[in-house]
Amino acid sequence: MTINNKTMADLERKAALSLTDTERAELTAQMNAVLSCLDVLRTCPDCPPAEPSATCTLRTDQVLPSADRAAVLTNAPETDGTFFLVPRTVE
Amino acid sequence: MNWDVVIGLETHVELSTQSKVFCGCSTAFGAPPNTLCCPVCLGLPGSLPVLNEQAVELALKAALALNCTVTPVSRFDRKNYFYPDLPKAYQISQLYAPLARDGHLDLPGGRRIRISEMHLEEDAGKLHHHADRTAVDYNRCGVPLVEIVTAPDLTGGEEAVAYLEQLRSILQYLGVSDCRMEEGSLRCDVNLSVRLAGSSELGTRTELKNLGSLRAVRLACEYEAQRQIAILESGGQVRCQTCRWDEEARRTVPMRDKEQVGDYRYFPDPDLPPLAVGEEWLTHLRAEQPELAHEKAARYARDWQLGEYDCATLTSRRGLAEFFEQVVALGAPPKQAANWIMGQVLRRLSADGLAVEEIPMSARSLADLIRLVEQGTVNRNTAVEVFDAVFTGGDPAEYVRTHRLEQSSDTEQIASVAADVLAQNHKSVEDWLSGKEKAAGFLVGQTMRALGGKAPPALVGDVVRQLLERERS
Repeated sequence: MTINNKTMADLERKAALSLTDTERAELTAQMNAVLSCLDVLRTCPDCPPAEPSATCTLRTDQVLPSADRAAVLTNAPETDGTFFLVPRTVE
Repeated sequence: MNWDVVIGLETHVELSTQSKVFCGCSTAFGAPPNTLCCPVCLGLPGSLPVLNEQAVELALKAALALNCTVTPVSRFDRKNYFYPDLPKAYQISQLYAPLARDGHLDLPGGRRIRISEMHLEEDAGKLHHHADRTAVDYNRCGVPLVEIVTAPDLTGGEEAVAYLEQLRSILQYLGVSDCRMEEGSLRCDVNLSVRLAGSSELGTRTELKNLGSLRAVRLACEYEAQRQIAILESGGQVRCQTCRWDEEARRTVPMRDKEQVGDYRYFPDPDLPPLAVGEEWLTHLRAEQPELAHEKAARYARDWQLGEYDCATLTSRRGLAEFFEQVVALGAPPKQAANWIMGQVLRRLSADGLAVEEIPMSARSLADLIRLVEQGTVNRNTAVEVFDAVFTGGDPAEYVRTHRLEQSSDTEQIASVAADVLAQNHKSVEDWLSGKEKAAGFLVGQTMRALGGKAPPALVGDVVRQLLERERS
């Protein structure tokens, strides 16, 4: 798979990004370089599906203390002390 | 042109667990914003999700009741999207190997609606939009949901509502969810398309969101079907879109072109190993499954000859059905118990603002009260007075005793009171003697009144008539 202009435009829209032509060209090249690394997988021989080596550990339905709100909001880029604040984003 | 409406529903049901699906934060509704969060549900680096066993068990109960085949080893996937309601920028869900598949639900009329699949996932946070900022509360993030997806088998808004009502009843009976639409614990998205009547090819569908009530589901389906039909009849094409239901304007509003599954770049979540569900677990859950509403209704009709309306009302909520069964088990005739519960109990619950799970009266009290009526100790009107007095607690028989409400079947006493009434109502006696039958009814009523209602009306009627006959001779 390669990233062409159409795929890039689609990704830009979904990621809510607006790139300059230079940025777009640079990112397209970088993403294609990343994808080309995966081509090595094509050289692997086909194997039968493996059984999972481990299955999910389940925990008991028990309430544990949550984090303190001040701590929760510590890393928020913007907050009013109660909520995380982000640029107005309406679907 | 005639059109067929084709509807599939995706219903998100919040599972009744104490803690979230992948961490120990509480699922309590209505806590102050961002106070039920931890590194796991905030998606902080270094944290790892651990699956809640009870969430799996509740989802499995639902899957079995909906006749699904449970996937022996299901998997979790990441659904990636850009929206601030999830701090991780992905939702843990199940795409490639969901928890269960290929079930069905039978509507009360007998129509079978296929369930394509059911999967476990986590809920997202809540957004509050202001003028230039969106405020985010992540309390709901990580609350366990099961999503139940139907095949496109529903034919209109009414049927979609019937499906949701039946689904809600099953899930409430199972204790899987409280299914409170107003609190968001049952939410549904509608996928709707139209096609020429008789065609087997599906039309282009739209997805309808923001449906906060069953009424909204019905109205939105009806509106959207008409909108699509109008487009097609004028030669246009329906766009594959996601639309929002505007409750005030009563119309659907396009939000965006609908995402395709590829847009979410799903991939297996490397933090969660596959979930194995053994046959032993399923056998145990099958054995535990309670009798469901439609099964109870059929039994009431078969064993106790109750009518369709009575059966439907009594089984509408598990709490009500169980209360009814307890009253019958304590000796009350089923029809009498049904009448008291559907009449007086529901009236008082509504007046007192109580849910059926909160009936303060014991089944024993109601059974005793019905027995007092059956035995003729109190008449129906007095019994309602006693009911209201003991609804929040108390012994009906004791109340009747201490308030001297027993009916008197003492004919001499009744005759003595009736004689006084006749003596005070010469005009009515003369009216009766001149052939006005109604006058007797008046005299019986006056005698009942004088007796404080504490005598069997039929007996009072007999006594009054005997006295009147004596006047004639």
